Amino acid sequence: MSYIRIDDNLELSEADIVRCRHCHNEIGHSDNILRNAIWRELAPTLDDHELCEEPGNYVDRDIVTRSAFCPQCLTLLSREIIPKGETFHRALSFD
Amino acid sequence: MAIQKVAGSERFAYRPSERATLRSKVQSLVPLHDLEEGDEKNALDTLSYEVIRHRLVAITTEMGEALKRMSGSLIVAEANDFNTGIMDEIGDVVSVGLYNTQLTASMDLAIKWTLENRAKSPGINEGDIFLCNDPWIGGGLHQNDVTIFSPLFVDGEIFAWTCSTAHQLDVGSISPGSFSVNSKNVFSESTPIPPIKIVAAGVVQSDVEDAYVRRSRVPNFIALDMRAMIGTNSIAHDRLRSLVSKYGAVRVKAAMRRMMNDAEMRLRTRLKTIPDCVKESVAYVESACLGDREIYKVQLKATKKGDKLILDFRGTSPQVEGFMNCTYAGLRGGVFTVVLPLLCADIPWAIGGIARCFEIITDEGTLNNCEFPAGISKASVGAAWVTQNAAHECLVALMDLSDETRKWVTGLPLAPCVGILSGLDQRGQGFVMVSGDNLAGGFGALPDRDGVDTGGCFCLPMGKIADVEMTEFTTPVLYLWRRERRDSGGAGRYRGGVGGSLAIMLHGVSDNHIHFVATGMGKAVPVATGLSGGSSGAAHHDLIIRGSAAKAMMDRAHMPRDVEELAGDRMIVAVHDESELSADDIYVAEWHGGGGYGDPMLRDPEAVARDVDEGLVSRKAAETVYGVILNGDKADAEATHSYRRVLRMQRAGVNEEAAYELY
Repeated sequence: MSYIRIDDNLELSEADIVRCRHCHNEIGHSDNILRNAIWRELAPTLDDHELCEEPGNYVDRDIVTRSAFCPQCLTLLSREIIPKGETFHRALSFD
Repeated sequence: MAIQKVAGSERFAYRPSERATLRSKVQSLVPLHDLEEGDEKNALDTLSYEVIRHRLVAITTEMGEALKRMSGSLIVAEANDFNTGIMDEIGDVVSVGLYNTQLTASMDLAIKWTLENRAKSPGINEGDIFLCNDPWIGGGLHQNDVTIFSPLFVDGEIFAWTCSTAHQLDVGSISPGSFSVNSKNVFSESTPIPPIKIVAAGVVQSDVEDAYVRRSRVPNFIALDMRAMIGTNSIAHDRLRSLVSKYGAVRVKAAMRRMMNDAEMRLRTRLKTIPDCVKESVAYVESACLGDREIYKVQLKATKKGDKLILDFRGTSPQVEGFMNCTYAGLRGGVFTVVLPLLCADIPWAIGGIARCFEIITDEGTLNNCEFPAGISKASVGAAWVTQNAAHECLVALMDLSDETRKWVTGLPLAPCVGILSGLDQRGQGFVMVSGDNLAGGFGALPDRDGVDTGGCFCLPMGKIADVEMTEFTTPVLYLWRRERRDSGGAGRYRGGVGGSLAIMLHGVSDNHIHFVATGMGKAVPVATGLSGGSSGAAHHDLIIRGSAAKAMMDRAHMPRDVEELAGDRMIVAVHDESELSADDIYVAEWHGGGGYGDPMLRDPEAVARDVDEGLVSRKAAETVYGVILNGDKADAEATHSYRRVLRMQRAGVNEEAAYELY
């Protein structure tokens, strides 16, 4: 079976299955590539070196880090820093 | 309070007409050169095409070099915040310079609007040159982008247009530098100028010039830049006339058309290599003006189908009270500033053809398609930049899907945070300094290598930052440091390039204090989002140290090296700020790094050890972010392997039993 590389971590099979490129675990489907991922939302920490001051110095809304992991090998598939309560606006889907 | 629409302002909210429509509208008012049927194909052999094509590109480049030599402002002559272009008779872009690419997708709008609205009155004649800084029409993204463009007549017909747009230091408004941080709408900002004839039949119109420069705090500078841009157009006309004289109007015009058609065909071919898909992205931005603590967003859904891309911005925040909205020209500029270097890296930047591969969908009255009189003085580094980030993220995700385009994937880079100093300089003369140092941001990481450290600004392929000595010579400041910023590159299998840091204080200032304006983004929500599990590049961060010990330390022949040494009262600069700096105050800016690519736990431990050795990553971050245990200056492979296993489970919130033992 041939695969289309999606990015460093994911690939799409001819059968529209999305799997982890590191452990070959099924992560999702062509219409929702991160369907089976582990999602985790945490308050950001300055130790990650993405933020330099507490967000409350600048804005009123809470800020969170939202990450998605391969449920098998725990590779980090997606990471974003966003206002709390925002839906996922970074989806990729195939016809 | 809602932004009240101004009746009649819709006349200036321009959307480009189709070629045939525009031609039919203006043909009876102003003669336009055209080709006969078959000329495009038959008039030009391959060799002549290549010669003429390269000549047109060379003329565009020469326009830029000429502008730099004539301009007296650091932001033009040193930072290259300008661009130049050659358009055909109808305003479609044939060639643009490698300078600020945000500006390239708005030049055509200004020219097309001028054709439609100035051909009858006051008329468009040989020797005329127009000036415009109205972003609802086009030409630039905010009022500081002043555009000067001119029709080239050949045998009594408009054969082509030339254009230069350059950032002006100050075009008026309530804040020096014209970034009006207190603005609620455009009436607190520099009033946009729709196209006016600054030169008529070869003569500079002094009444028009006075009306233009009178608004500025540095009228001499903008008068000089105005002449520099007029000169740039004149040089282009001389060169184009020589080209037409040598090869004939038909062959030169055929080459122009072919450049646009070739660019379109090559981009369509490239797009076909990318699987059909839909990619969504979002870019957040804090604060629309001083005191505002809200967060806004630009949302994008990119549909790649066959040889076309549909960019749908619906879902973006409504326009806001403040100064950071952008018009349609800003939205378009945000799109094409990433399309050109990413998708068209090896395709001539004939935007007249490239733009045919895109459809842009947007609601009216939004953050990145605002209506008059929404505030726009920060547009270029406000909503247009946020648009750019959303477009960048979508494009690189699509390009990562194709073996042909993956080599040009580059992660997200910085967003400029502007510091503007103004007052009286060391010579007692008025000055405005726009700090462009943070244009040396970290580039985003690539799928197979790290981003370039302090690589520059993505929208300025030939951008650079002003030389420290030159800045100190022209403005009353002293740099305590300007250097790369450790831990600012987004973590990843491939690390984002690091950003930089500077500290400046007043030096030799006439009246012991100067006005200070700061406007940024990406302080609470980083802008350089990582890709494929990579982390964001570090947020922007700036401080004012009031009453520092720097001067006393230098009197003792000691140069302060970091914030801790400066002592004094440390004040965090809000997203936007306006205040004064005194002789003992220090302004410290730490700017964005590029986003990382891939999971940081997959980074080669030896690469992390090298980063630590070179001062780009701290030992602490090597351990907590990358999971690398160092033994001296080397990575301890065994300890790293074990530690990463633990960290991987901790960050995903799973226990050991639940995790598959892969590593």
